[in-house]
Amino acid sequence: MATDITFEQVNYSYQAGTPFAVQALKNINLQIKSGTFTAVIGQTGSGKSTLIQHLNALLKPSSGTVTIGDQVITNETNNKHLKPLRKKVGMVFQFPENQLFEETVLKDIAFGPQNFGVSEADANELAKRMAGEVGLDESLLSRSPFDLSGGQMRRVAIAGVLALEPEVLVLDEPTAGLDPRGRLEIMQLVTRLREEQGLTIVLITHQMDDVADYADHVLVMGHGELLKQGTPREIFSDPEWLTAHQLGLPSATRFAYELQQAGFEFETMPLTVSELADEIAPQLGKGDDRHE
Amino acid sequence: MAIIKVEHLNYKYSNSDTQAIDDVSLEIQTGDWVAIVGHNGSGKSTLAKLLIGLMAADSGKITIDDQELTPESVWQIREKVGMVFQNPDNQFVGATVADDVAFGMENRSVDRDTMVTRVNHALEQVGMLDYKDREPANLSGGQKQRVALAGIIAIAPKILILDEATSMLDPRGRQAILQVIQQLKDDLNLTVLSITHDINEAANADRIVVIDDGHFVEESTPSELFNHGKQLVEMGLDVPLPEKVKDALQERHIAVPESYLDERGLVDWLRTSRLNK
Repeated sequence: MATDITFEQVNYSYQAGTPFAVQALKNINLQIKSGTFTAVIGQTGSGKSTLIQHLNALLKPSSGTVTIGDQVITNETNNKHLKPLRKKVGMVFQFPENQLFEETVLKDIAFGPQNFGVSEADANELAKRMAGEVGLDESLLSRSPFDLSGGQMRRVAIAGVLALEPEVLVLDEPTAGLDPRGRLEIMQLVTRLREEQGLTIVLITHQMDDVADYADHVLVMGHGELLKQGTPREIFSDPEWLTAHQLGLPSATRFAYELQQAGFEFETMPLTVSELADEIAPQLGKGDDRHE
Repeated sequence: MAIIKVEHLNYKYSNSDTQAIDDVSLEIQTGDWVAIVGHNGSGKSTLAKLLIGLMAADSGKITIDDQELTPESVWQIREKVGMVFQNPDNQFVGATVADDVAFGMENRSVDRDTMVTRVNHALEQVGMLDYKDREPANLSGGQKQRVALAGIIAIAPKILILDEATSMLDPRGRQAILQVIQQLKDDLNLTVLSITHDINEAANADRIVVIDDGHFVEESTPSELFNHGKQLVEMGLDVPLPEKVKDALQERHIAVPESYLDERGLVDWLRTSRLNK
């Protein structure tokens, strides 16, 4: 079943109606197609987190509409009707390990589905399957989640969200604070969930290399507005624009621009190290002893 | 002069079978920037917590600024050390950003006028002055990290400990904050200890110490360490871009220099190689 997401003229203000009101989203119009991998980028404070909290109506638009599958969310939407949506759209927040609370890893992962009416036995089965899915060893299931390392705790939190069997998985900087190996493992997990289960992925990230490696659609936020959207290649083709908005390039692309200054020619600007090497290898000598 | 001196430090968590810190000794000179790297769970953050007495070591001795860390001296020592944690939510107390930055000075009985000046100055340094009346809870992760750093700048400590303190910042924001820290270090002869996975943050250091399973496995300069190429991942660091590019070229049968090149060095080598084709 397709769960497309559409924002139409969405505005949102924090502390609305008070002298402290801050408009965090301004006239957002966008579409996220079912089964795609969308990256949301932008400076700190640009409205990224506010935007994604509209994806399961944790925040409702001050004006405008958000449509998720067949559910339309407006300012008037009654909170009573949001349960199916909360199950459909799974949210992994920043530092999700802060939300762990149960005595054991198994109970923590099984908590969500039981909350949505799944029996304890079925929820435990689901929890075991999801623990395997995120690469947690079975021996960890009976341990306290608080005895685990940061990377493992984060996987427990992600398994807890997956146990709701969502169609859309939203992740807010899921790799912050993890070491490079932990980061790679989480990103590979997310990619696999999309490829094998057809999940729609929405990822907030500051890692432009991850955007280049994994995303097929990019939303660029700035000062509460959607500044630009497109494929990674479209977004990263305009370094001046990105610099003006204080955004970076993937490291391979940035390096390619430096090489361009040094006389190298590029047919298309590379997004990854592999594309970069493909372009420059034919332009190089075979590297004899003189250069060693 | 060594401002931080650690001798034969040991620590084991009560629920664990292995030593979190295993006979660690370390000396850091005044005005040095030392990065501590290692994969998640290697003992980096434990070491930082021991250094400011948030936990007591099982054995060993810590001397900070000529004063031995003991239950009696811990408060005096913390006056000299500012620490920024990975998740700033864990250290916010004020109702507004400005209140929060002022909190550390209130504890140190700084007079009001000085406090206001220092709060404004600190917020300006981290690019958060426009947010001074906002509620910390409504800020983004990266903005919170900036405010947490401002709180430390305001108390002007002798030693700054950063525990993954730039992990939520975008690359440009991180570079800007690292420059602020570098400037503080130069102006105030600040000693910086940064615990990090970020290769750019580590590159700012004078020395890098690699920790694994609770003990030091290597100590070197950034360029010596970055020479390790793919092994860096085992150390909890990313592989620097020039090493990745060299690898990819080698796969395409291009002979590349073995020694470590930074980005500038690699551009120069590639330029020459292209001209000599």
